[in-house]
Amino acid sequence: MSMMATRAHEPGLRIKPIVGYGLALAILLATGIFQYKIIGALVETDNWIIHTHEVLAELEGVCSGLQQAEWGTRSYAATGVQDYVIQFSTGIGRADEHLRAARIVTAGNPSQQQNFDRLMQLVTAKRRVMEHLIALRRDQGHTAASEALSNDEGPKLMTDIRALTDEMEGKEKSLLEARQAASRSQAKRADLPILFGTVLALGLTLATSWIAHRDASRWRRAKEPVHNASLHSRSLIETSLDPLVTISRGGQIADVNQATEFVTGVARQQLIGSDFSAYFTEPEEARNVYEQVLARGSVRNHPLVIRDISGKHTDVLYNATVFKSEAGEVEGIFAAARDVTERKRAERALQESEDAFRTLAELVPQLVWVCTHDGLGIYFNQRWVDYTGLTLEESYGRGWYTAFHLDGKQPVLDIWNHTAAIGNTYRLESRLRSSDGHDRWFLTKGVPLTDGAGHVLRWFGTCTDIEDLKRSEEALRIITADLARSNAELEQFAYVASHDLQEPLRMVASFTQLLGQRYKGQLDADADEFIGFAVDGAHRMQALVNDLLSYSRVGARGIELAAVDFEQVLQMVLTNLHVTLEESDGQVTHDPLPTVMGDETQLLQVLQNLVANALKFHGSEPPRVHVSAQEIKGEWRFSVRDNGIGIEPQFAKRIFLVFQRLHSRVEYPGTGLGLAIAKKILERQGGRIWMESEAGKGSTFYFSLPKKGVTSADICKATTIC
Amino acid sequence: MQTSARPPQSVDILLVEDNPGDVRLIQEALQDGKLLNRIATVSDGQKALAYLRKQGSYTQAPRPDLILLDLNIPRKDGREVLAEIKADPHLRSIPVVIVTSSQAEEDILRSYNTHANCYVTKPVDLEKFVAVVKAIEEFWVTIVKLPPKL
Repeated sequence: MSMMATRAHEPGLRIKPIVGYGLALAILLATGIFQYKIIGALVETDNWIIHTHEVLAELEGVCSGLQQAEWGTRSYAATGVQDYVIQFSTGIGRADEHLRAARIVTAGNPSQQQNFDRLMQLVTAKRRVMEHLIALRRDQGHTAASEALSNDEGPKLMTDIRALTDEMEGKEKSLLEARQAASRSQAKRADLPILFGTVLALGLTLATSWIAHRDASRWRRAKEPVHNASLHSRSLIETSLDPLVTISRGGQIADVNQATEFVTGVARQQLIGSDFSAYFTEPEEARNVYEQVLARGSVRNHPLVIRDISGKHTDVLYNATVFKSEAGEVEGIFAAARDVTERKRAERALQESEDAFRTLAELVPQLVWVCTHDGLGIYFNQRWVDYTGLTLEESYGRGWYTAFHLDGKQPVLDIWNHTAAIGNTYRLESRLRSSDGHDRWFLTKGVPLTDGAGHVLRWFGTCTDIEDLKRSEEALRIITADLARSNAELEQFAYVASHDLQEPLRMVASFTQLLGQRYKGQLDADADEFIGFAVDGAHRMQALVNDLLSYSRVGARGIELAAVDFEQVLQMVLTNLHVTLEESDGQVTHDPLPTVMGDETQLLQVLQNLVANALKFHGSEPPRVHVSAQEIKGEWRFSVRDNGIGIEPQFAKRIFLVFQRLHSRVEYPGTGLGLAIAKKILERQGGRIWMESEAGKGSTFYFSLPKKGVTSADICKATTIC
Repeated sequence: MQTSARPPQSVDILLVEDNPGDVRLIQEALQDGKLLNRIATVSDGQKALAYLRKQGSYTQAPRPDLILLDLNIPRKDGREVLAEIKADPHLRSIPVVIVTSSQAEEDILRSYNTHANCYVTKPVDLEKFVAVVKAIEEFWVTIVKLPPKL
């Protein structure tokens, strides 16, 4: 590793610092030049300051010299003393001198030059005035001089000169200010680039130095003895969880890591120098592997078992390579053993679990199968093979579908696709192709095994033989249909029988009555009595036939559901029963009654039968009947309470059966069909009827009707004619 | 066919009834009446239509003013006879009273739908039966204005 790295770094070492340093130098140079230019500008500005001050000084000198000459001239004019003429000459001389100098310093400025020309004219004019004064005093005396002095142009000229020099000074000063401002802003703008350039150069120098230093260290490190690297490797080796061993050419352990000590239970000192094969359950095999490594150079994932001193086994995968000396001679092998005990245990557990599953799958009476998430068969039990006649190979993949394909239909796939799409439990009743040609009905159920994310991994399923169940169901269906038909026929028979019985009965009744009417008293007393019995019997039979007809009509008639107002129904009942009410001196009271969905004609019959019974079965007291209704759990519960003779509890159910009577006809006439008809009507409309009573204390008959009304399904259940 | 002696103003009645007992009872009831009617009786549907159309042995039969028709009669039942009478432009003006033992709602509705003029159920009780027959006679013979004889 180190050789490769070194070669790769060598060119970098030579080039990078040179480029770095060169770049830094270039930046510094650029910064320097820039700075020099800035400084030059500053110096120039400074020169201008000096120049301005020179101009100012010269102009001041001009004014000052002229003032001195003025003072000399005026003093001479006043006194005539010759010394004052010298003062004048000196002043003029100074003014001329400064004037010459000012001319030189303002030479580069054309506007100043103009002013300067004008200044020369004024100064010359002033000088002439003063010379004239001096000549006047010298030649003509004090008075002439004084007179000339009082009205000469001297002061005005001086004022003009002063104004002109002020103007020139102002011009110079403003020029100077502009130059200073320019210089300052230039210097300010130069700050950042200079700073940046300097810092960049510095950074570049530092970075280059660091890279150079680093590369140099690497170079040095690479050249250092291997000793340092092996310290590092050693700790890596010791940290490894896999036992690592170097074995000499003689098969002796040369070096081990800590993991080797753990797996063998033997201390490092004992391990080193011992025969490596002694720590395997099969030393011979271990030595074979060793020879293979020597022969081929390496071996990969060879399974071996290490045995520690306590006898505990560790399954490992052996990986080894030879290692060679500098000279290329094989010195021994370097071996790593990966502990796969956990993996092996998991594999064994899985195997055991699969064995258990297969045992179970073979034991159950169903056909058992396992599919992938997309329906490819991967397991089928023996019963599957036995029943379908498909071999395992024929069943695997999509082969198993053929067992479901009967009559060219593919319900299995349709349902499969639907079920697989929603990952739900698969359920299908279908016929399954049998090897012997006797296809039978099966219930196929599949449940998905999903991963944590809900993806289906496997489908586990069974096919349960439901042929017998299907046959029973079919038989039951046929029997039920037969029963319904038979019931219907019976009702039809009852209807037809009772209807057709009416005709001959009417004849018997009518002619016995006619016989009685025409021949009463003409025959003997016995004959009259016999005729009486015959008429009575015929009448009773007519009543029976009529009630039987009503009873059979309950089922024969279609139900017309409508809102039935029980207040009105009760009024109709009372109208129908008004003769009975008057004869028995009875009274019927009632609570507010509801409107219920039902068949009005039939419900009228129910209430009428119950009220008629209540009026009929009275004791010594005149009958008192009370009708009420209350809402309980989604149904209306009606009650008809009376103060009559009551019914013993053991007859509470019997009274609702056809032709069941508890009393003799002489006591209480009747056919024994009234309650049976009421019961049939109510059950047909989803209701019930029952009673509570105590002998001698009156009875209460209850009947219920569903609030929501009856459905056609309820009618089917109640009548068995569907 | 049976006929009775009658004054010329009396009406002709055709009784279509197969039960001799009922025929006798109806005759007994009508005998008690104040009016003497000519009652002709036939025992099945085919004879009834032959009588009305003066066919076969009935070429001399008078056109009846009123028909009493039982529904349950042999060969051609009363429902068909009624339908044919009411479909025949020459016969449909004759009032037809259904006198039957059937209380079936279907029969009642169907009879009126085929233009029966009224529907009477034979009472089980003799006295009521006689009363009903007399009421029919009273209403149809003395109260109602019948269409003129053709």
